[in-house]
This record gives sequence, C-alpha cells and structure tokens, in this order.
Amino acid sequence: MHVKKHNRQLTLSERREDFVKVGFLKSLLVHPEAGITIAVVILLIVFSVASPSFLTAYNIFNVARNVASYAFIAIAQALVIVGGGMNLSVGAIGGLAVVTTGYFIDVQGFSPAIAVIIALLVGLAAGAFNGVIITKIGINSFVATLATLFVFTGIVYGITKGYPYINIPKSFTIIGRKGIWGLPYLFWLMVVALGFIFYLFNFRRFGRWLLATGGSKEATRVSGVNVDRIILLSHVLSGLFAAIAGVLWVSRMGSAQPATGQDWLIISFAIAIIGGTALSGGSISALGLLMGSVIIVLIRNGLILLGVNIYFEQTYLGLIILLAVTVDRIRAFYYQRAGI
Amino acid sequence: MKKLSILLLTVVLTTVFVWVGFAAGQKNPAEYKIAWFAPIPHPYFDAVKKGIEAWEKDTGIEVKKVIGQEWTQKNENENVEALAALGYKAFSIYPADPTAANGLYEELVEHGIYVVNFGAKTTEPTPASFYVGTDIRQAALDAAEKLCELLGYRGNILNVLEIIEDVNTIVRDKAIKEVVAKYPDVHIIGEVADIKSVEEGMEKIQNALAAQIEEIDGVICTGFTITVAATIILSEFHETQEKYIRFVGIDDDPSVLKAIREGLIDTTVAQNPWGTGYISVEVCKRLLDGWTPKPDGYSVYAGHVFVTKRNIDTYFDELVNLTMDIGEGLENKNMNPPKE
Amino acid sequence: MRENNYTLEMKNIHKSFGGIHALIDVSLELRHGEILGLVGDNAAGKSTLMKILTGAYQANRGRIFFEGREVHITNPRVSRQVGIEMVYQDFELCPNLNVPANLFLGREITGNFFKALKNRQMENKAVEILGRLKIDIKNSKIKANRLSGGQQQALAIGKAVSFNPKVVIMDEPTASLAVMEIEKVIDLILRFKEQGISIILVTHRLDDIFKVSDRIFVLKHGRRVDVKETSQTNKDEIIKLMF
Repeated sequence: MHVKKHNRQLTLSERREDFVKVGFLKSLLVHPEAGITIAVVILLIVFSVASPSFLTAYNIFNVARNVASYAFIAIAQALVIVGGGMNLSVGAIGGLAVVTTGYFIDVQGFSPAIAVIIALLVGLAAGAFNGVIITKIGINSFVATLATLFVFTGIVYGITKGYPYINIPKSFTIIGRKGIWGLPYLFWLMVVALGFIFYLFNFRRFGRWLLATGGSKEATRVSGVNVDRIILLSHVLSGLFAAIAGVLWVSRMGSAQPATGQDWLIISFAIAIIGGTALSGGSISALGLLMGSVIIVLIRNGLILLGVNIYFEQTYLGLIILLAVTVDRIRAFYYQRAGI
Repeated sequence: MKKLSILLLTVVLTTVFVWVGFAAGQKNPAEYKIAWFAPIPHPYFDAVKKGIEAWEKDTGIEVKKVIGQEWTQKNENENVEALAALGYKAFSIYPADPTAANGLYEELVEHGIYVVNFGAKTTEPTPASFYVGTDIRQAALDAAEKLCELLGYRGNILNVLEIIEDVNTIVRDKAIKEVVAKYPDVHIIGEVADIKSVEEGMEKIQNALAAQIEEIDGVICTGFTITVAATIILSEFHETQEKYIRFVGIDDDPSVLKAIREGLIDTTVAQNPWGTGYISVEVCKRLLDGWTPKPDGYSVYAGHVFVTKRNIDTYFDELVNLTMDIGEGLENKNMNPPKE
Repeated sequence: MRENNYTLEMKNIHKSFGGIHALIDVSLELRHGEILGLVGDNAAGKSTLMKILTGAYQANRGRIFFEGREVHITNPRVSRQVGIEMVYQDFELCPNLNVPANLFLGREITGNFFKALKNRQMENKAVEILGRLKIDIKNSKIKANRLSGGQQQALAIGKAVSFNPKVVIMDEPTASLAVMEIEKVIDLILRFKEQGISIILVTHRLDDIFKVSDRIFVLKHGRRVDVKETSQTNKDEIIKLMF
C-alpha cells in the first residue's frame, strides 16, 4: 500500500483504521515467519508427491513427535536469545533433568509425577543459577553458560558414571509414545507450549519487557523496567523448558540416557534463528519456532524417505536451510520496498 | 678361621645373588608403574575398569586408573603426559583420536614407556606395542551372519552406521556387505549413518522405518549409540505394530539388555570390555618384565558373544572364560618371554 | 509541606566517580511551568546532574525536593513515579517495538483478567496521544526503527510527556535532527510549557535555548557558575560564563 496523502485532519476512527487495515499479502510481508512457512508448504507438497510413505499414519506420527521434541529445545534457547543473550547450557540442563527423573524413579523409587516435579525444579534452579551469574556477577551469557555447560555436564556424569537408568515404568512412556486424534501427545504438549509463548510475548508485561530488553537494554532500563530481573527470569524459564524437553525425552526413550542433550545446542540455535528469532535479540515468534522445527524435521525425514545418499545428507540439509532463509530474505526485501 | 671366612663370604654372596636374582625375575608389586586411561566416563570404560580391578586382585599389582574430562586428543594428551611425569612406565590407553594419538605415543615411547591400545586401534604404523580389544571386522561379520540366520536367509535389511568419519565404520560396513552378498535373497534396502547421539539416532532410524515400513525385515546396528536408539524405536514398534523386525545390535547397555529380557529385540553382540581391561594390563606387566612382541602378534582380540534371552544371565561367565583362554594364549600368539 | 515557587529543587549536590569530582555543591531550582536551559562545556557535569534526577546515578551528598517535599530517587522507576520524565539524546526507543509498545513501555495498561496486556486500548490511546501532540506518524503499528529521525524524536518526547509529568528533562533533543525537524520539536516544547510542564533543556545549541528558555543555568567544571534570566542576557555573556 502506498502511503496516502491526507490533506485534512483525520478522525480518530480513520487513523485507527489506517494502521489496523493491513492487507493479507502485506501481512505476509510483515511477518518474518511467512518466508519459512511458505518453504514448509513447498516441502510438504514435494515430499507428498515424491514419496508414498510420507503421508502414512506412522510417518505423520513420527514427524509430529520429532517436531515437538525440537520445539521445546528451541523454545528454551529462543527465550534467552530474545533478550539479547544465549544459553549454551540448554542441553546440559536437559541432561540434568533426564538424570534427575531417572534417578528419583529408578534409584529412589519415587512416583514418576514427583520425580518429574523434582526434575523441573532442578531445571528452574539451573536456569536461575545461569541468570544470577549473568545479572548479579555481570558475566556475559556466552561465558556464563559455557561454564555452566561444563558444570552441569560434569554433575550428570558424576551422578550416573555414564550409565542409564532403565527401570522407568511403562506408564511413564505413554506421554512420549502414545497420542490422540492421530497425533502424539508430545505434539499437543508442544501446541500448548507454543500457545504459552504466544501469550507471554503478546499479552504479558514480562514478555513485552523481555522483547524490549532485547531491542534496547538502555531504553528499557530508563523506562523504569528492572532489566536484570527480566533477564534472570528469562533464564529461569529457559531452564524450565530445557528440563521439560529432558523429561519428555525420558518418556520417549523409556530410559534415562545420561548423554541426552549433548547435541541440542546447534539445533536449538538453528531452529530459533530459522524461525525468526533474531540472533541479536528483540524478536520471537511462536509460529516461527514451530515452522523452524517443522522444516528441520521435514528435511531429515524427506531426505531419508527419498533415499538420498547418506554421505551427502548434511549437504542437502544445509542447502535446504539456505533456501528457506533465502525465501525470507526475499520477503524482507519486498517488505522494505513496500514501505509499510 | 680362614675356612670360616670363606664360608661366611659364600653365604653372604649366595644370599645377595639369590636376592638379586629374585628381584630381577620377580619384581615387588609396588615396582610396576602401570596406568590406564579412558577419555570419558562411560559404561564401556567402566566395564573395562572392572576387568582391571579383577586383575589387580589376582596379581596384587596396583594400576593407576584415570578418566578424562572430554573426548578429545588434547585432553588425553594432557592427562597422559601428567601421568608420565609421575613416573608411570606402561600405559593402557583408549586412543581418543586414532591418528592423532600416535603423536602422543611417539613421545612416550621415546622416553622408554610402553603403550598398549585398548578398545580401539591407532592408525598403523603405530608406536603402540599392542592392541587389546574387539576384532571389529569379525564382530561385524558375525553380527551380519547372525541377522541373516534370524531372517532365515531371506529378507530386507536396514543397515545403521554410526560416525562415518570413523575408519572402523567403514570396516564394519564392508563386513556386513560381504556377508549379505553371500545370500541372494538377503538385501540391504536402506542405510542411515552419521549419528552422534541417541536422539539423532532415534529420529533417523524411525525415518528410515517410516520410509519402508512394509519392506524392512531386519535391522543391524554396529555401534553403541545407534544400538541404544534402535532398541528404543524397535521396542516401541513391537509394542504397537503387528510386524516383528529382526535385530542384531552391539554392546550390552542396560537398556538393551532390558529389551532383550522383555523379548522386544533379538540379540546384541557383547564385546568383552572386562577381558579387554584384564588382558591389556597383563600385557603391560609382561612388557615391563621384559617380554617382547612377536611379529604379527600386535592384535590381541578379546572376543565377543551374542546375548540372547537364553544366556542373558550367564553371558558374562562366558566372557570371563574367554578372557582366561586369551591370557593363556598370549605366550603362544603374541609375546615372547624375556631371554635369560 | 512548605510553600515555595519551585517545582523542583536540588540542594548542594555532590557527586564523584573515584577521585574525580563531577559535581561540587550544585544547587538548582526549577520554577513552575518554566523552561530552564542548562548549558556548559562537555565535561561540565550536565548529564551527571540530570542522571541524578532520573535515578540513573545517586548523589554522594545533597537533597532533592519535589514540590517542596524531599524525595529519594533511587532508580528510574521512582523518578517516573515522582513525575520526572527524560527525553534522551539518542531517543532511547526500542527499535523492535511498535509505536504503542514504546509509548507505554514500563507502564503498560493491563486488564483485570490475569493482568493481561490491553493492546487494543494502548493502540487507541497511542493514536490519541499522537493526535493530541500533532505527531505525524501515520501507521502506529510499525516498529520504531522504521520511523524517520524526527518521528523517533517526536515519539520519544511523546513517551515522556504523555503521562502528565511535572518535569521533563530534554537532553540535546535537536542534536541529530534536520532543520525542518528542529522547528517541529521546538514547537512541541513550547506547547508543553503552555500545558504547565516544567522543562529542563540541555543543549549545545544556544540558538534554541534563546528561542524557548526563560532562564539559563550555566555549569562549569562541576560547579554552578550562574543563572541568568534569558531576557536579560545574551549569547556572548553566556559563552563567557561557560568557558
């Protein structure tokens, strides 16, 4: 839309209309997740046509569950990236939660519900530990969470000596392995989590202030917001989501593997960034996180379904991610040109 | 008087000679400075360590046992160099990096220190005196043979490989294909590879199953991580689906043993880490005693057994027996006793 | 409460950083509805003095009275509650937030339902505020980083004055603006004066000061040099006092 020339003073309702009325195509341009969504739709079509196995119930269930597993990890990372930081210890906190769950169920004989609560508390505490180091001691989040990555991983090995906890009751695997309405419980849990993220950043002061902190720490501080508290809380939430991801992995695996979480770091960044969480902070999108998870899972799934040469798999993965990001650059270009 | 002197002198000299001779042939246990190093805490290394502890008990000789902080050659170098500085003369080491470890070994050997690889071979030529561990090729051959047998020499196999940069992965892959080629009705119809974590393994194996769910009759895994991952996926698959997929894995992680016990998967190849530990330090001791390697005696294979529901409670005894046989065969196959 | 003519009084303020004395025994009085120009050389202590008012720094010694009552400004939140707002030279907007979100940052309107943000209401109010201040931003849904420099400054000023402050501090509000935009900002400042807001204007641009201010306060090396009625002084005198 071209900027209209107004010769007379506009009425209030006209002015309101002016910025509420943004056309569909234009809203596609405005939203950074639009590019990635388009890429996902393209991939869905390509894989559906190219492989008869793609739309089988087994595969849909499988893909949906992997998407959910990634989304939780990505949320844990995005929550701190949005405030201008990062959390290198997401996987380590996840591993800590896995081991805590396994230890209290297998060794201490607690009921799974209580073990899960303890594990989530451990996640909260680990996140709070990160947050306190960053805000009170004033160490930047990269260094602080790099250090705690080692601390937490060390604790995991110290407790387990590398052994998994295997006496996890069958009932505990229901969440990780079963589903309803054709999709896994994990997927529905992810929908709830993403809904929470959407609500947090659109309708809560905390979310607004965290976004503001990522945009300009100084401006937020002079606006009377206790920025340190916001950053601390974002790390607590990050720890909680990493722990949720860990607990859900225990439920999926039916055992508590101490190495869980060791490869989460890169994936957590990749999904968050692909999904429109700017690395410099200040933006987050629930839909983007979903689409980021979907695209990574789809690519891996599709490549195997299509029988791509395993030795070149990573190359294809990289190329398709580049493609998705390019689609977004094109969107951003037209967005700039449109001048809305 | 003179006679007495001669007698006395004779007695003294004899005593000295006997003492010296005894000392030369049979060292005091405290004089053996043997050290063992593993890169990280892991159930496999823990099992190796148990073998060493058994050997310590049997011989009364103490072994310095050190576990590293991360799986890198740099970390291994630092740890081992520190031990060498403490005066240890023979090392049983798991090479963190099969090629780069040779650099460390060269320095040790230059200082008159003996090195024995356990668990994995270094790239040859190598300064290491021996390799004690699994015959990787033979284990893969046997595993493939076993799967073909389970399939009744008819069916389609999914071949799951671990880290493709690893030379051992290529050896395993070749061995599997060699066996499958013998049977015209057995085919490898899918391959997944490049798996570094259980989570990644679960995703890729499930993707591969989803791709050819009707066709796949058997799965073979030749690495620890992928066996754990495949166990989880197949356990779940067998709990929910009609079809039964045959499986041969490697290593006896508790979660894998549990699934075998519950009849959810067929079998796994148990390596002999206990024996690997036991024999590797026995070899170290003999090197310190002056034994020398025989040409072609470099590899001391620790053997392996299949673990099925039938022998799950007794397979460890089989491995101990195997170990004692190997110990007795050392003089025949691998080492020459010191020359008088 | 004691009666006086001042909205704000700072008495005998001292501030040092390590061994460096940034402010030495500075007292400042701001009358109701006046525009006070604050001038001084670069290291004179202008921004330190203002940061003490906004709660960014605390004075080592000295007292602050607001409408005759002593106040202890320990952080930016307190300063805002007292009724002091600041417009920063570099605007201090969040580039990633839209116009209403910036306007309401730190004092968002929330509803009764679990204190959820009332975005619609904030949007409406934003439009109203922009209209009232005659700030020319057509689409308030857009993010601050897509506004022009003048629009950003107008928004920053709007953010400061839209919540009925008693005192507004403006730190070089025209420094990074084009000539056309400077005129608009000066109009804006004069309009606030009409509304009874007291303004401290910190700037290097003496032209602007002489255009709008009632009195001029000169700082030099951390000390108060003099305060002049604008109508009874001229540029040369002020410059002499400054250096």
